Amino acid sequence: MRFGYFNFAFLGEESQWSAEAAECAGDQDAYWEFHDYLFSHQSGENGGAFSKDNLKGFAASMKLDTKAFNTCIDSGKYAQLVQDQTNIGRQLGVSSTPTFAVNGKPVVGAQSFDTFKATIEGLLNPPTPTP
Amino acid sequence: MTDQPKGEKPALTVIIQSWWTPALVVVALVVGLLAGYFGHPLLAKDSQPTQPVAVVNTPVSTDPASQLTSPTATVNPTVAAIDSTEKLMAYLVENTTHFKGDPNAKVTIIEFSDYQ
Repeated sequence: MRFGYFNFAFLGEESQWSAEAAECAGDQDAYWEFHDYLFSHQSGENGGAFSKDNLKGFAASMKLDTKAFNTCIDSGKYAQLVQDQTNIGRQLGVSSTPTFAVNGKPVVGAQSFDTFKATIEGLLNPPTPTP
Repeated sequence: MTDQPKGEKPALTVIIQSWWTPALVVVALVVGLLAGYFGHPLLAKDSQPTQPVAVVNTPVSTDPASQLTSPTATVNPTVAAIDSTEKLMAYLVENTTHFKGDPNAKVTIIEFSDYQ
């Protein structure tokens, strides 16, 4: 099983900044730690929880190289990437989060484990194989 | 007042002080119609910026199986060329920056999400 995270920053500027911040953490091989840190520190939307200053604070508390991280954030190094990914999502018809693509099959919403299990088992053991 | 015959008052009296008055009314009507006709595209142009948002928010398909591949008005050629789940997944994988797990796994899940 392989899992990929695709930025769909559609809720405003703090969505954009936090997605950029995770990419910046990725420069220091800390993408997934930052990803988890963000999800465990959510509090409201665009209320300052993920302001650039706070994001820099997260990097500091995770013992990242703050100089490199701050430069990355302030320069907008990944701004275009995040916008491009969000646009791709929109063009593919994504309109809410989370939306999943399981081998290309859409699973929309925070579905139960059983839903994913059924989808994945259906892919591994197709009832009617298509040529 | 002075010229009217006594005893018979007309039901409605329109006093026209000058024949320019109705002529101006007709001219104003014509000008208004022409302004509306030619001015309409300008008004429509002003309201255009809201249109792309409407396009994006419009559900493109009710069929869940094709929901992720349905084209929209602003679709790019690469997305328009996607006609199978394999091609869709290849396109997504190509544009995904971070993965976890086995690169050769039979199943790949890609999550579209927002940190907020």
